[in-house]
Amino acid sequence: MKMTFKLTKRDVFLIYVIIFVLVGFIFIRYFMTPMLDEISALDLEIDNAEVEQFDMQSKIAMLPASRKTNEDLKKQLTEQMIEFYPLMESYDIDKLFSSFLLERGVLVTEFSVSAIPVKAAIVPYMATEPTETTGSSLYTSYISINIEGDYETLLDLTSTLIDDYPSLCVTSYTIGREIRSVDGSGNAPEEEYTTLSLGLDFYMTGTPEEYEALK
Amino acid sequence: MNKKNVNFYLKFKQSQKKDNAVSAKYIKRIIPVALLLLACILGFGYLQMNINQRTDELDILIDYIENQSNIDACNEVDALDAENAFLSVAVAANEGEIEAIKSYPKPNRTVIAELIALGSQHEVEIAVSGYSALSGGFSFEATSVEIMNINRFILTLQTTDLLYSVSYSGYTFNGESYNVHVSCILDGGAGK
Repeated sequence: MKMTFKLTKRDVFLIYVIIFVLVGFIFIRYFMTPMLDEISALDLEIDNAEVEQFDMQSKIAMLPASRKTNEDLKKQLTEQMIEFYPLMESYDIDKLFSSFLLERGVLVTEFSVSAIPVKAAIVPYMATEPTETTGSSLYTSYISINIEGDYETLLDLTSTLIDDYPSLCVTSYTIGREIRSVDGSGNAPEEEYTTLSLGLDFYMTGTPEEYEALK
Repeated sequence: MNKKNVNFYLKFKQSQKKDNAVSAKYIKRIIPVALLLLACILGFGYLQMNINQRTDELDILIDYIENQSNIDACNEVDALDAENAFLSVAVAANEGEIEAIKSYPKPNRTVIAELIALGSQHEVEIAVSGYSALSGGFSFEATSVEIMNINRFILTLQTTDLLYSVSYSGYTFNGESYNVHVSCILDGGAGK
């Protein structure tokens, strides 16, 4: 018996439709979808890159202003600190004061200075709390001096220290008079001596690194 | 022989008609497939064009982002910003401390000269005893042959801008003159 396979018009149409749909599916599944995914991924990358570019552009646009601010702040800091001494060892402070006092012809009977300066915590006049010291580059050494001389010289000396040395703060002074024998033995004739006890804050400026090196 | 059977032209015409019918039938079937393929090719082309456009766009952005001079500029801005933040805090802190230092009165020659001038108006001599920045206390000895002069002098002192307050505790007489120990609180603006 001979088998015959004859496609009807309807079969042909169905096969035709199936092929049509299959081609469409293959195109969508294997070409369009990956390409659309790639487009989405590229869009995302572009968005991120645009954000990054915008950040960079903003920063680059800020560069002249940042440089100017930096220069201004450094200038301001230099101007602020110009009146203050650089951080120095206690023996350098001693040398500085000794020569200053010798020039004025007074007798220094006692001089003491704190061995290591401390971070300045200055309480404003008539206030109770010190100012904020975070970031400050000011350091203080406490100095105590006892001097003998005539009253006017001692007053001039105190006034000079108050007026002409902004890096110094006279925290206290006491002018007293004592009568004692010239040679201190008690047998020699007595004379009146004027004494000045000075308490000073000696302000210095420096970076934290310089301060660490000093310690 | 039949005349009709030997008409080749007619035969040719008939065969051509039959071929045309077959061609039309195939063309009818091919057009949708061709259209589908065309749509696929156009779609592919369109998408590929989009991808190329985006890739180019991304390349331009990446070129900008990876440009060494741009990176250096950004790093410089970051470093400057960090330094500026540190400097701003330092400047503000130093400013506060400098203001605090300046807030103190200056018990200098100017203050003493003004006190001496006030004293001389009432025939009172003064000798400075001491000063304490912590309390603002400024003390001196006032001496006069007349106790009333000292009283008037104290009253004058209470009206001066130099002093925030004035106090004294009695007097002593040494046979020649009266002596009073005067304690004052200096005004913040004294001596400036």
